[in-house]
Amino acid sequence: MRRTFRLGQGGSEVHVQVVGSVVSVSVGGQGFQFALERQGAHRALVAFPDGRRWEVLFARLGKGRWQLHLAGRTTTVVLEDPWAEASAKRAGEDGGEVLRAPIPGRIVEVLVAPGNHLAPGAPVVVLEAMKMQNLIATQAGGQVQQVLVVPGATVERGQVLAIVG
Amino acid sequence: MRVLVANRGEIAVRLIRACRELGWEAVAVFSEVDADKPHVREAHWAVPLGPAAPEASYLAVPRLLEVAKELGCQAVHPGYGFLAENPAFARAVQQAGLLWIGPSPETIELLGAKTAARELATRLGVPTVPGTPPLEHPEQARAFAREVGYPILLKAVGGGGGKGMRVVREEAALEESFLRAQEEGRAFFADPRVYAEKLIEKPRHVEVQILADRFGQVVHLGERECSLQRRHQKLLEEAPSVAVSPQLRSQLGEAAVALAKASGYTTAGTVEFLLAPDGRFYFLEVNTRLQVEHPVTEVVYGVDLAQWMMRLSAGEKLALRQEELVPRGHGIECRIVAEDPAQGFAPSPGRILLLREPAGPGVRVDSGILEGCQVTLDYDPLLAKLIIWGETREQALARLRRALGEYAILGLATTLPLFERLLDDRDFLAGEVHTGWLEEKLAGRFEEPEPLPVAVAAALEAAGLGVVSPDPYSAAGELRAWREASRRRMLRGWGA
Repeated sequence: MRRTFRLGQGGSEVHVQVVGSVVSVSVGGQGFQFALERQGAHRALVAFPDGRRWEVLFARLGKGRWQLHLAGRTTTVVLEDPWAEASAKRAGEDGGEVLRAPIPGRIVEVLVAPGNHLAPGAPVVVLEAMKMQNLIATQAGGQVQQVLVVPGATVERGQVLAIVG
Repeated sequence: MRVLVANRGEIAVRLIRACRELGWEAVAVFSEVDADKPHVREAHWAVPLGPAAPEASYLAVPRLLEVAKELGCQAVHPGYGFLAENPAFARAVQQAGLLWIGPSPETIELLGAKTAARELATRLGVPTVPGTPPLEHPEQARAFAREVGYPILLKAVGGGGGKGMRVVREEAALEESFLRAQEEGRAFFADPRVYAEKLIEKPRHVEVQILADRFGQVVHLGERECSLQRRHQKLLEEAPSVAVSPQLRSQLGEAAVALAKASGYTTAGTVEFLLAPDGRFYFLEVNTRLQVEHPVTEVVYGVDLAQWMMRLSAGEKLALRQEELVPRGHGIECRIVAEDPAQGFAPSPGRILLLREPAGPGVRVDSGILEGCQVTLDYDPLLAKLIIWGETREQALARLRRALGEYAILGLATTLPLFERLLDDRDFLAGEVHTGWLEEKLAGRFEEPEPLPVAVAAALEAAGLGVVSPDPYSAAGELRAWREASRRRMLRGWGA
């Protein structure tokens, strides 16, 4: 099995090939080969061909978002699937403007309902984060297609709040 | 003695431990979102307060007093934050016939008024940052600047958080800056008055720990270096400060003790100073509480401040002698906060999926989280404190590096990677820092992650290992475990 990813925010390309229990990965041209043995819900062993075995603690925080503790360091890795990203972008272009939470927080108020017609720049939800209330507004305006949050909901960064247009 | 610990998080756990060690009993309180936190488990009793909102829980004075009464408490410890420096709460506790663990409400009130505290310092000959009363004309600011020298700071009387504040580096810029500060004061705070202050550039923030009994005895336990801050939020503290000589330590200590005596201070407190690069120090304010960073003092002085605060409140005499209080070795505290340093310190709520805390020589973790608990956006994001002691600063730094390597918190972003990065910084290792240093450092972006973790993450993603097995902490998981247990019980009943 082969997969290709791109590191978040336009970073390096990552190619993965899994053959049996052996994984070959290249990160921006640098190659690695190892076996992965899962030890628990958040724990695995990385075994290298030269006999080194390292413990890796991991959690999948969201789609392609990994948090790893490896060799004494905690790292967050965001892997984007170039195909999925491209199709989401197309859906956004065809299906309207996707409003996302710019930072994690809590929805204080939803100011629109599906079917409402919004002018460009109209506020859609009030998001409270870091003790400040932020108005999330539509840029282009249009008809509200979907509202995906309710007041009181806690949202993560990047979570889709509403689709307009 | 039975103590109501009117707080949450790591400080509640810290105080409960102190109670247990003194042979006292601790009553914890918790809001709706804190039932899964460790203070609930560690206390002798734990009582629910109400919804998450602080006003409905940890700030709900009538409810707290009701709990204290119902549970037969004799004393209340407020911890830090929430109601810790609220003289009205201290008074309400005393009026309910309970012992208030902290300085008297009168002292809290006196020292809480920043201008009154500074006047007291000036009366005692403790230096404060030179400043003026509110001014009306740029001419008055000019006269002040000629007296103390540039740069000066112009501040709107009602200002705060950087608004209505201007730095003036030369006389040519003074008039315009003054008029702008006036304008901002009028626009933001409906108050055009402006005052001037000498600007101390690249200062360190040092603070002196004091302990005082009811019989007029006061001692100081040296300083803590708290210069590593971001937006006035301390992130790493050390004791002693590399910039403080034994002689300067005595001077700072004497100033702190004089302030404590003059304000009738009792129990534990902290006197904050700015320390200029030229070695001059200026009084800032007194914090009338046990502070977040108190453990760095505990590890270098070998004194349990939380216990002393309780014992002194209960009327015990101070058994510590100033001449015996000498720092030994070096202490460092890192604040592990649920914020993402790679994303401008954005809040980072979530569930703690995995928690592995460091241990071993010279390592102490004061933690407010457990594996499986939910970190919400309702309160201060401090998760835990990693406190290191070493015979020397070098050993402490090496130990910190080792302990950070052992520390794993998965499920949300924390400030752990920030400290790993600090340990690679030459200025930090040399102790050459000031209060603006960390923010200057953070202006540089976090780099792309190392290739090996990326390779492992990509392998996990590709192999589908990330398809998380059923969450053992979810309601469904608990239900399953419960069903499993009752099934086993039934089988036992049938003689299986």
